[in-house]
Amino acid sequence: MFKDLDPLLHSQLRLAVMSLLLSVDEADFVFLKEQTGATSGNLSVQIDKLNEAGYIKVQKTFQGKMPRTVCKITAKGVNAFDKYVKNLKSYIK
Amino acid sequence: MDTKFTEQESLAVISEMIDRARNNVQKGAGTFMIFWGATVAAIALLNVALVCILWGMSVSANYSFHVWWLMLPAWAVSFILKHKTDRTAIVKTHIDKVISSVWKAFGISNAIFLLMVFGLSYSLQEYKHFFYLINPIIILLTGISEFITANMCRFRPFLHGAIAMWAGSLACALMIILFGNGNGVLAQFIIVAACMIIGFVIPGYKLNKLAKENHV
Repeated sequence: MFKDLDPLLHSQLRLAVMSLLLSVDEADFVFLKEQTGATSGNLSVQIDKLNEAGYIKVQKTFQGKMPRTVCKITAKGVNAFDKYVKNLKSYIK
Repeated sequence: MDTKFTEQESLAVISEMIDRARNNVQKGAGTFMIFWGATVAAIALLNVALVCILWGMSVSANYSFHVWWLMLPAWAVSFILKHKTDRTAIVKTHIDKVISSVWKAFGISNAIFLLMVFGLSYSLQEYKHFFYLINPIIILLTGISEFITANMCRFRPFLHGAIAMWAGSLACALMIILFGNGNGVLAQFIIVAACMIIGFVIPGYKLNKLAKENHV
């Protein structure tokens, strides 16, 4: 039914992450976890998938002794999201 | 949560997430405003107190203006606080970036303005008239920056703060017309202190309260 929709984005958690990252300049893993209500494990897997596709850029650093993951949407991600929304609109019309 | 879903659900997710990101107010977001408001108000009132003491001792009140050097350590503290906040912030929005740029531009404009005032007054050997403008112009620039901030984050108390700054700027100029050099300058510093409390401390406190409520 949704064959035109990007399968990578047409997943609730990945779409939620992309929507959040589109609205901000950059976001920490903690923020994404808080806003989506997902578990750390699931969120981590979905972030890796988006990162591998080049939709987001993941930067892993250390804050003191604690590891920190900061995510930022890429130009490729913005284009993919834009295309996804346009395709979504055609289904709704 | 990684399940397939309908187009309506898809739109609902996009809308909800954008809304959440937009309404996110960082904990302690108003702390900088409280810090700067309280610092400038305290220095302005200290200046008033020093002028009164120096007048009592029949010494030139001009020495009291050196109290504004305290702004330098305040800048250092603010810089360290900002660095720490940026490092620990779990999200940085596009609005955060724009607001940060506005206040950086405010700082640069103030520095250029002060450089012009001191440069011109030194080269023309005319101090009084240029110095009268320092407080009104700085408050005017603060009002502009706060007005932009208010519109960017849609936070009404900042708008009230901007109006207070602009009114304060006019009042500062009026004080010199009404009371002349001595008392007029004293009144200017009292207005500056009031503007900083109304325009920075109170909105900053309200913003922190809102952020706390958002995160409960």
